[in-house]
Amino acid sequence: MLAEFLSPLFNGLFSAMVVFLFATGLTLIFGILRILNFAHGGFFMLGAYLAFTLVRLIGGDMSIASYLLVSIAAGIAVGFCGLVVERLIFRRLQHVDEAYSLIATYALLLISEGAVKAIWGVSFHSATTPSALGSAVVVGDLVMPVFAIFIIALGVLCYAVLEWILQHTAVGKLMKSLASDPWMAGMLGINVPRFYAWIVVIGFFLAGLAGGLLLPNQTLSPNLASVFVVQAFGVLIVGGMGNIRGAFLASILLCVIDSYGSIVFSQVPGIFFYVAMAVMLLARPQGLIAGARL
Amino acid sequence: MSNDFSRRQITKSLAVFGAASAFGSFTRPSFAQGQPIRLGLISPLSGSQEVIGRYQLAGATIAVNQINQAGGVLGRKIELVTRDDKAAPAAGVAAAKDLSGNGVNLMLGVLSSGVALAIAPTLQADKSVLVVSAAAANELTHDQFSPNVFRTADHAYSRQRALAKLVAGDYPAVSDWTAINPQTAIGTSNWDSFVDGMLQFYPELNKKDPKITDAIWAKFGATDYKNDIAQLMRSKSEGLYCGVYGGDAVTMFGQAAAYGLTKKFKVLVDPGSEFIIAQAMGKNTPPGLWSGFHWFYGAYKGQKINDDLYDAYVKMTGDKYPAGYVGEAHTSVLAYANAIQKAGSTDTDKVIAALEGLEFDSCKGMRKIRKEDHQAICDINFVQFGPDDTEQGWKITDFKVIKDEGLSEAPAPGQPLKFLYNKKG
Repeated sequence: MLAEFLSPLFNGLFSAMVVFLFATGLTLIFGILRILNFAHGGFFMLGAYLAFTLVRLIGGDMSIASYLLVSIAAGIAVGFCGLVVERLIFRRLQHVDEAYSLIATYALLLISEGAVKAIWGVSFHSATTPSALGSAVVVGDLVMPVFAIFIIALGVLCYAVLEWILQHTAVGKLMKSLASDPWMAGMLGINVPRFYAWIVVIGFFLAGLAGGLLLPNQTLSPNLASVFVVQAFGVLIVGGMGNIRGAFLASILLCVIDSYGSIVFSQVPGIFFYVAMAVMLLARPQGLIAGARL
Repeated sequence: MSNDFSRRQITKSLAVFGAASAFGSFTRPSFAQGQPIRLGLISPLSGSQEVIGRYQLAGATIAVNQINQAGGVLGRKIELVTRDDKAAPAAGVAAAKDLSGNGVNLMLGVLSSGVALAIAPTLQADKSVLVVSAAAANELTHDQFSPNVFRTADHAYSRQRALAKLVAGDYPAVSDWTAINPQTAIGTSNWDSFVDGMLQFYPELNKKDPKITDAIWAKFGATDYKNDIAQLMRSKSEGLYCGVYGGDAVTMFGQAAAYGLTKKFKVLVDPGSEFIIAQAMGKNTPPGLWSGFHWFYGAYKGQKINDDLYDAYVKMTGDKYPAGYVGEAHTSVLAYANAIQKAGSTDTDKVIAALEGLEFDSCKGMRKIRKEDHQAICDINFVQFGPDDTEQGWKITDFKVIKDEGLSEAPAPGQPLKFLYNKKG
């Protein structure tokens, strides 16, 4: 009985942190640059494939340390891709209509999918959960995989770190000022283009990092780019269009509601994410946290 | 292991491979009598199902090449014209229209049942024929029957009933079954057919009734199966029908490892992931997993068409594990070659007449296309997988060939499929 009630909550929280980890880079870039990066999923996928390759090279059972290092390495590699993308594409999108950014980033998504097909092929791949995270904690008849607990903890940690940076550091204040008025920030002597470049690099790093961290949870195929995109955009919109705190809250609300909905109305799995999203937007069209970017 | 070969490799291979003697019945001394016979392959060559589309392309290409090496059909070469359906109905219809508009009236392939069902009603007006190589929906030979559509592969009803016959016979102690299925038309159709088979074969073979517990329905393409897995762990069933297939099954089994799902159930079966789960999961392959196959080459070793196809595929791709889709696309081309030879023409009506009741040899032995509903009666293959200590990480532990004797329903074109035993279906 305990499990029947708590299991959907636990699994909903896990899904929420998966979506949040995926969406952080997307939220950061949209919050500051106002670029709706459709290619985010493509670079998340690239991170996952890079991590997969590193895991294969290392061989054997992964320790938690090597799993984290591999994920960070994948994040750094994707962050470097972000630098190239910023120079070649994003910099040109800052003074044009938003429709152009949608077209450009969609094209980038197709390019990333093509690159994955060319390098890794179209077959399915998967990676094992690190052995230290491969077991489960059992409380009564409630089973909680350690990997899921780990991802929930990582999601909360990621949120806490971003929140602390944004609210309590000079860099965070700079980011917020840039998000709200880049012209004024430039007038005050801030090198706005360089700052934008760093934001894109960090956003891409987070995408690659998420790809590596979530590697044991997903099947690798060139479709991976699109599996979380709809949910991530849902979180971005409900959260308040580029607000980290809003995205965090929206992830939890939408995924936990969806989790219970899928149990209660088992004949229509997955639909409650969108039902909850519609209800929340009707109730708060401005998003959960409105009025403040990041 | 890898199936990551390119279309360029396949095209190059056209000039290389052949098995002339297997196709002697089509031979003529030269190609001087006319233009090539063009066959249109409609297959997902991009998008989420591209991996399967490549298999179909390889199988059809090998068959075309072998037939041409043997002298062609009616003294004419066969030429394969490919169109990408992206596994999307609208793209499939556009591909079929494009082919017929370009004078290609004989088509084959199609993986997705949704695509096949969308194309079917358009064929009569376009005076075209489609030989389906994979799409398994029962509706195609029932309530949505088209006189211009044939299916040379097995279908959901026969495949899943064969699977039920296998487990009812080999695992008599496992009488309580449940399932996790995708919330799709084919997911429902597969499970209903499996239950129908269990309700027939289990009592026949074991003199007692099986218990079928309600299935768990998952979102197609879901990224998280933990709620579903948690429910399965609370189930008292001993047999699990894992209706989620392909990449979804890999995700599901990967997430289920921490729960000990594969240890909880005594028997695991899968409707048709073929090599996908084992190749993706390696050492984590669920032990004892039975998977449905369109064609398993290992079951027909020593049979010339099978061996030649296998050798040509391995030479073309370097991949030692051809999926059943290779064999089924190969078979569809053979069906056309036989029918055109029999009809003495490529005219649509004459080819349809020749395909009806056609008996022909294929990579998995003789098949007969029923005249009434255009469904082929053929063997059904299953392979059992398990983990292995080798670098590959998995191995084939067993395989079965089940003859379609009493598995397929009586032909009823134009009418819904009636389950004889599963009254809920």
